[in-house]
Amino acid sequence: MLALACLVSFARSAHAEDGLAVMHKVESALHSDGEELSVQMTLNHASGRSEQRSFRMWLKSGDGAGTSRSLIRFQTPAAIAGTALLSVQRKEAGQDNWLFVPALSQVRRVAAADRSQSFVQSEFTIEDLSVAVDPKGRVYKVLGEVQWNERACVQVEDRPRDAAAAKESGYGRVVVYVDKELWVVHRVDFYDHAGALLKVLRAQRLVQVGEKWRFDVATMANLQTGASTVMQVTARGTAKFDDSIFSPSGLDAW
Amino acid sequence: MGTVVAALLAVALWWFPVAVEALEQQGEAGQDDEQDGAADDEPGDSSEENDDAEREAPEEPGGESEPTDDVGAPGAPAVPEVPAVPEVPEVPAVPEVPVVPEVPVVPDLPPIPSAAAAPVASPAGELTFSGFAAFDYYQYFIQPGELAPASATAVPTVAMVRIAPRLRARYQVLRAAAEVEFRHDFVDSGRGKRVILREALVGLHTHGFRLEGGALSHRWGKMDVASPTDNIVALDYEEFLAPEPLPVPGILASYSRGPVALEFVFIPSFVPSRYRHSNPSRWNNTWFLPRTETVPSPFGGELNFTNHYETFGEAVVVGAEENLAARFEAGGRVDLFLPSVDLGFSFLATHDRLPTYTEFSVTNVAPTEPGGPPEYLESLDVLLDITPHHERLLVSGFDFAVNFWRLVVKGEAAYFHTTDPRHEDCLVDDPYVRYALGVELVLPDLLGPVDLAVRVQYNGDVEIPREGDDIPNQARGCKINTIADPEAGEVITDRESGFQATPEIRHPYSHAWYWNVNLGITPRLSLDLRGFFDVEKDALITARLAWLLLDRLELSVGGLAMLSTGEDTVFTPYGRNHRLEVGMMYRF
Repeated sequence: MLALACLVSFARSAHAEDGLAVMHKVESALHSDGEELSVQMTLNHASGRSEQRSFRMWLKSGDGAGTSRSLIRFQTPAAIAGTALLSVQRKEAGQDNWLFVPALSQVRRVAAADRSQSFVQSEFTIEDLSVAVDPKGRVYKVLGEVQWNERACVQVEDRPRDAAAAKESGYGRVVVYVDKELWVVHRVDFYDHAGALLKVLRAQRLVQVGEKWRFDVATMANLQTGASTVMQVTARGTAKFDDSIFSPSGLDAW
Repeated sequence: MGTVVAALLAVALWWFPVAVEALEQQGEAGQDDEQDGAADDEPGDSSEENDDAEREAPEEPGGESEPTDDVGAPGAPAVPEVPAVPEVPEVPAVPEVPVVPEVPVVPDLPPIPSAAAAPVASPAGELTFSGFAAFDYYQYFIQPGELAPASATAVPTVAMVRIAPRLRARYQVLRAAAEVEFRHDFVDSGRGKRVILREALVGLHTHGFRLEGGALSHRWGKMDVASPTDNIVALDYEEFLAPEPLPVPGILASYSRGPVALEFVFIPSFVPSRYRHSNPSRWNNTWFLPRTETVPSPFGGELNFTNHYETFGEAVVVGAEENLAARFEAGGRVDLFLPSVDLGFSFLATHDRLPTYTEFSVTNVAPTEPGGPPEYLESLDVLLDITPHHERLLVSGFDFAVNFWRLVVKGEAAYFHTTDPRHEDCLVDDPYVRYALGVELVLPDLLGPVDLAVRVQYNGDVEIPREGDDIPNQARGCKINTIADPEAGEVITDRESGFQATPEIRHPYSHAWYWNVNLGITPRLSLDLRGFFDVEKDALITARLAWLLLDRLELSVGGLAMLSTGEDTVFTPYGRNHRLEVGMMYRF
């Protein structure tokens, strides 16, 4: 849900009034005219074995309609190279996802329920990779303030408003640690539907890119299995790109 | 917690003397009531409580409490003037004490792995080399000796190696790609030693505009199998049940902006689909050609039309004999990507990639001498030369995919307008509509790491008889097979012959169900089940268990069972092709 918030966010200065306001600030901090990242992902299995994936990611948000778009193209390993995932998050109309799998030569619409599916066998889910503040379906509550990463953070609890919303998510509730000054997300605690702490996302290497603040490393640890995934930005592109790269019809392009 | 305690202490210290003063001025009962009430209040409510205390405070601070009945009574001592009670300062609002939330203790972060730094996310130019090498082994349970005589030479096994390198290059807006597959089957010589061009393209991509030319392998449609609107590429029916796409030479131009995408495709020269006619393939396609047949001969005796179909003439693209431009194909497509719904509208002027009918000519005809007798058959065993015909088709299609709850519901329909202007050729299909409706349900993490995906699809055909006909040509079983009568002065070449050979193979999913269950047991181990059955009682099931090793190497084991075959149906000649499959693929 907020993994990307760890890797991409703006510097803002404001004070949190309530949970929803804080989350809107996090969301607005993610608005971007275009971000392009090269990412290396390391999967640390509970057995001690590690494997790596790499992909490129394009992000764009903040248009007038409140629509956010992200495109991910895998480069390695060979088994999934060329696979592309396109997500379009519309403020009022929910999320649309399309997947291109080279072996099928076909762009497929992916059901929204697939958001809780593991993202290429990592500890991240598709849900983790999108940012969606949903006041109709979710309740955001400020739990208090804590120090984390030697920064003052507001702790915001994000939980489903009703049973229907609960079914849409792979988590019972989520606790987000938001920097009070920069509005970047330092940490996210993911609880399962039984209330047990399932995963923890932690951000490292805060860097300033222009007027914006970014984390270069996000680590998702699954406390129930012992596995973890490290997502590391290896390059950031600054070139402008056209909206057309976010068209499902172009997912099979290279 | 310290902040909370300090705030509570501040309120209590201020409130205590005021309360004592009030108690001294009141009766015991009132004192008890007030004290209890105040003690129960929250710190934040203390200012209101002190207002009450002020109202009930005695007029003489610090004096003894007197019964009110005595005040002003005759003979009573004069009551001293009660000084005004100093105004109680307004109680400042106690700031809300933030709750200190719990921060779960979590294990240490794993080390950040070393990563090769990249200068920019997308370099201006890039060259990538990839591909795969694979070995497939199929063992048929029923050996050739147990098959019908016509299939006695069928292969007992398939042992095939495939190597497919792919090169892709990108420089700014320019693109180029090539992929070639080298295939060798050690058992089936007809299948082996093939070089298949999978992709060969050059193009440019910029600002939503895309232009590509070369060997296209572009697909339309949204269905998992047998998309009615997917008619651009040719198909290779070497493995009849799993036809592989074959690229066609052409040009693709597309433009996308916002939720709309436009696409145009031009194919200058028609490419038919590929199918095997000869043994030893277990999936040879002679079944849809005229079977061995015996008919009375006008010369006396019987003519045997034997299934000798080794000789095939070059496919005829109808209309292209006189005009090469008639071989072209062209079409366009509009896609709308709306919230929760994808819509597509398409049109393609093409030819049927499978022959609509096959014309055959007698090959064992004695040469005609100048001034000699008319042509005659050398024997009553007639040998036939097969010439497939590919008719012009105009295909108008519509497809959609919509998110509904946890499902993706998708469907397609296409109207195939066949060409028979004079409505005289019973060998030409009547127009027809093909449609498909499918649903996909994905349940990730169903049981721990187990993922489940279920897909079900129904395909149907509706033939539309031309005006004046009750039944369409597809159902009529049109066959023309007349023999010249020498006594009537006819020569053998006057015969008319033809056979509407392929309605079944062109409509394998006519009124049929397809299903697929994919079980991701672990991230590296998956079981894939697929099934097919139709109204003619053809049914099969395939299973494949795949194990991914080291991200590059995949091992698989599976099988195919022909569960049921109808009488004289598509599956009839394949009913004994149950097999076990073992495979290995290395991706590089």
